[in-house]
Amino acid sequence: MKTWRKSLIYLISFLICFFGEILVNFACGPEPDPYDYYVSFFHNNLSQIDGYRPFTFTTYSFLYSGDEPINEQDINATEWAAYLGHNTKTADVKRAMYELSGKTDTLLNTGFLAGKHQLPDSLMSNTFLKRLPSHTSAFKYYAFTKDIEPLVNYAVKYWDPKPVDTIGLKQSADVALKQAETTSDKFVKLRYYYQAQRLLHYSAQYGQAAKVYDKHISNYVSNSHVKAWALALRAGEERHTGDTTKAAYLFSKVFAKYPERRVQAYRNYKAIAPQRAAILNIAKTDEEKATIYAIESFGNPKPDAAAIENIYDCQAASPLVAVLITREVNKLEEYYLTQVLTDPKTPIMNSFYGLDWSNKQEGATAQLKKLDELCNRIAREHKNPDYAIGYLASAYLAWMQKNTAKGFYELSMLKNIKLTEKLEGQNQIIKLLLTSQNMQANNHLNEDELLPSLKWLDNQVKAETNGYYNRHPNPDVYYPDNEERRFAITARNFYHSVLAPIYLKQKDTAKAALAMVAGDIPGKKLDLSYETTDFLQNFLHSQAFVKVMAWRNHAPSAPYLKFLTKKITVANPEWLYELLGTTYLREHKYDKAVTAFGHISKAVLNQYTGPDYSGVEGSDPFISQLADYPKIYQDAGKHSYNKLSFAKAMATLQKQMNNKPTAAMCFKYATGLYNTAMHGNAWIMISYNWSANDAGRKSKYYYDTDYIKSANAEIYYIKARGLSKDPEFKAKCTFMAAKCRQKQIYAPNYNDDDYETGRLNYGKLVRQNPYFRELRNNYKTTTFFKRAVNECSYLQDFLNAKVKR
Amino acid sequence: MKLRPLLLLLLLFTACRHDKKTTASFYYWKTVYNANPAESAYCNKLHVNKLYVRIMDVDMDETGTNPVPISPVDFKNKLPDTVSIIPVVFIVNDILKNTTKPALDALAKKILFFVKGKVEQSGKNSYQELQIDCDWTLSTRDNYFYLLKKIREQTHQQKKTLSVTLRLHQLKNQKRNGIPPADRVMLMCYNMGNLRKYGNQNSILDIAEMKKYANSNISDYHLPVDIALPLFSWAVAFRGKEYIGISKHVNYRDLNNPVQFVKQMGSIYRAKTDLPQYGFKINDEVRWENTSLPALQDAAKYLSGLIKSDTINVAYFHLDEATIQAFKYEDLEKITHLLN
Repeated sequence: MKTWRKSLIYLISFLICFFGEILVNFACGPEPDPYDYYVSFFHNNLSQIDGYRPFTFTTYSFLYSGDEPINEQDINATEWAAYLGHNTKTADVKRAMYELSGKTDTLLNTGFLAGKHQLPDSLMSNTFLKRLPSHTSAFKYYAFTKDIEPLVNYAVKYWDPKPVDTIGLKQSADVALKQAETTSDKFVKLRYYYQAQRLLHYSAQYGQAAKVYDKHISNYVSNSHVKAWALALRAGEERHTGDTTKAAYLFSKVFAKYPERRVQAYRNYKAIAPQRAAILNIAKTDEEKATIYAIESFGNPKPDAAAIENIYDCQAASPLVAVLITREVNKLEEYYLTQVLTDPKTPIMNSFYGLDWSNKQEGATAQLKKLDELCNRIAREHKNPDYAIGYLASAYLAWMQKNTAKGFYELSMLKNIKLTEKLEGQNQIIKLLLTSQNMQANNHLNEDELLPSLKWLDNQVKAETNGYYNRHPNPDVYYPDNEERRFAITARNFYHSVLAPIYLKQKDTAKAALAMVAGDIPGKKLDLSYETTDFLQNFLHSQAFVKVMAWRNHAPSAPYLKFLTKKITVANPEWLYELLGTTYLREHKYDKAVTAFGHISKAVLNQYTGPDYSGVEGSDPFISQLADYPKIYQDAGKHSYNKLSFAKAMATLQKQMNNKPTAAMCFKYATGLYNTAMHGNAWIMISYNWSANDAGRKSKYYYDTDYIKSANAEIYYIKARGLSKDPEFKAKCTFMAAKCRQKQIYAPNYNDDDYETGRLNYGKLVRQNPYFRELRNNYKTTTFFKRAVNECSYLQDFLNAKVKR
Repeated sequence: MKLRPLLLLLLLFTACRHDKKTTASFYYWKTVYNANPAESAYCNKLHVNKLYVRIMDVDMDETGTNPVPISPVDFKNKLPDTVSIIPVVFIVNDILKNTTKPALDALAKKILFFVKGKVEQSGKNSYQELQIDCDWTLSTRDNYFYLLKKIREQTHQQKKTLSVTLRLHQLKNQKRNGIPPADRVMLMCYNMGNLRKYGNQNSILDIAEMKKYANSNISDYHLPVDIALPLFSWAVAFRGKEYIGISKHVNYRDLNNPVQFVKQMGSIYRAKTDLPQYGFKINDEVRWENTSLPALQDAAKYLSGLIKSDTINVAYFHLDEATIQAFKYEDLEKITHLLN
């Protein structure tokens, strides 16, 4: 192959790898889940009334959901089905009104509605359409609405420059008005007026549209939701004709009464952004004022207890109080609790990487106090039907502030109050939190006392999970919406953020591991989270792991432990033995590692290391290289190692060294240890991940003595040197020890404050390696020394510096 | 010595100054076109015979996948017979980021179809020039130029001119930014300073700032250059010296009301109390930025020496009764002539 072609292939391959890597990094970058980005135990659906879901707290989007809480089409279809009677099905009305395909629609318009043909085949059994011919006024109205569809749906044809057919709209509005005047059917009369208003509105005749509303719809006696939709139009008309404050006021009325237009009304209100004082002046009743305070607070991402107070003072019984208390507690969970629960030194990772904690806690304590006082007041006064939420919120806020006694006191106030199912659930969760906090404070975790609450929580999670599988019989993966797994998230947060840290504080890593596994989101099979996997892989010593395995293999008799080990029993035993064996490798207990790996099939073993592993293919942990890079993973003709064969080789060496150590044995053993480091040939033997940033970093894992520092390898290189009389070999041992010592120097990180100073210091220290002096003083005449000087620039620098001096 | 008369003759020839032809016009940048007597009278006095009318913005639809016309102009009245229309289409830069050539082919056709329809609604049978406005960047340049190329293929067939707007940052560094495939460029000589930075600067028109970008970049530009000059003013609001926005509710007269504001250094005013009607809190600061006549004159003089083309269209931004009231038509006439 010609040189230029080779070069071109290398260049293209390099570019593909280089940019491919960047793309992969971008694609894999984490992004926060807007519905699960802080530690939460206070469920966001506690209010007795539905319809405010879009206003649930999250700072990651304008609204929690852009969907209207109730579908307007469903409401209209229900009204029509009730009006027509005779078993008219709501679904049939909905289909005929909103869901026809273009072709069916045309057939319906040109045939059935024109009085020419029967219904199209696909609509032959539609109860709504079948009923229409015997109901003249309804038939006429339906035909009219189909007739005006092209006029009112003009926005769909974006690229048609034709302006809105204002003349057509106005003419149709006249027809609608005329029909409204002549029909005696109250149901369709209101709808004709609404259509007239709508058609005029769309033709930008806002004044006339408003007149239709004021004259015919405003005082029309009806419970139909058509009045809501007309009111929403009227609000828009007011906005167009100039009085934006009044428009906002009308939108607030729509917001309060009609959930099918709540999001639309909210968006309009926010777009107008009226002056609060001005709009409160227009509001006629306390209920209206309460709604205005609520709308404003729904748009406020910061703690805002004052809004609840205003609402409560206006209308103590307002259902919005419970909705907003929940929202405020959720805010404090983000601003205050998540940080309080997250110990920066904890080995447990958390997934709340979306949080920016700068200034989060600022003022949160004062807001917490204010909200607590208000909740106490609401609970005490019993004026709000949801007053019990006051006690619950107060108890929870007390737990947040580690005031366990107050928390229990608040909960005790609920004894004689009948709670809704949701509030009772919340009550149990808070009780669990307070109980564990109490135990933590007394430094004694009474597990049996905790068990009933944990079992209760477990049952909630099971019910929730079963519900999910009933709704989705064969999902590819278990991935419910957060609202379908509230208790599962609560359980995860409790086990990972409360219980596991308690065990860690007690230095009981085995139980911490069980808690991590127990907290993971459930599915039909054990699917461990990244956080739990990381904990099991990197923070468990063999001693703890042996305990875990014992509990797993023989169900403990103690009820609490039996409960806690339930999940780990379904974990794949080969995976667990692989983890256990690896802890033994890290602790140099190679005999035990051999036993542990003996439980695993060769195929599984080779998945992690050995010839099947694609990362460090066929690596040889006993290869000794003068320079770490470039890597030669395997000497030609030698077999590759998996964890078991490596453990066997190291165990044999250990035994031999115990009997009669030789220099060669010690050197090989040292090399085995050296190669398990991040800079070595077989890091895969003791680590599950590798990063270039690991070089010279601060210790993080218990096996960093080997993985980062190669400190044990240094000891054995020196032992080997002591046992040899060959100066060439001794020089080699000394040089390898120098390499180990170099790895023990902290390599500054870009994120360090004094990176530049650190870098200079690092440069100085690697050139002052104490073994360089020994090499120069004792082995200068060896061939190895000359090779080493040629290879190692640090050694060269050291020698040159000496010469200059 | 014999050469002296010849040199003199040569000097006379080269010193001959051909006056450039300048025409004044306005941008019409509202979403509804209503005939306004004051605006019409102003145009007549200034002999304006064409209007650059914004037809629409092109941005993604609600799903974020298809480019659609946003707020197309609604002609409530026909344009006067004496005034021709130059339709202007503003393309939001983001729509050019993730797109394909077939999609751009289709977009070019849709834009031309839409423009034709709108021009007819303005009472005109056709138009002679189409202008595309886009704040393109390096990442979108290739797609934008491709779209222009496709539009230009059509406009050329119909013997129409395609012009494009050019911002100062696009003018600078022509090698990197490239030259858009169009027949003319309209250099937008406004919005050049740092709007968001607290201080006394004028971000609308700052001659010193303009000089950083213009100079030989204009004279060496490979396409004929037209000039767009600002007439507008605005109030830039700051809270704790951090930019909070442009207030549409407050005007110059309000700022000089001593009950509400106290004048600080230069053109900065401080709110003496909470002023919810303008959206201000106590101690908020407002920088009043306007386009002054001397600044316009300086800009025109400076630009005049740089533009090589013999025909210059000078377009003022924008035709609005309240905005043009601040300038006598004679003043604008003089500025237009300064560019000769």
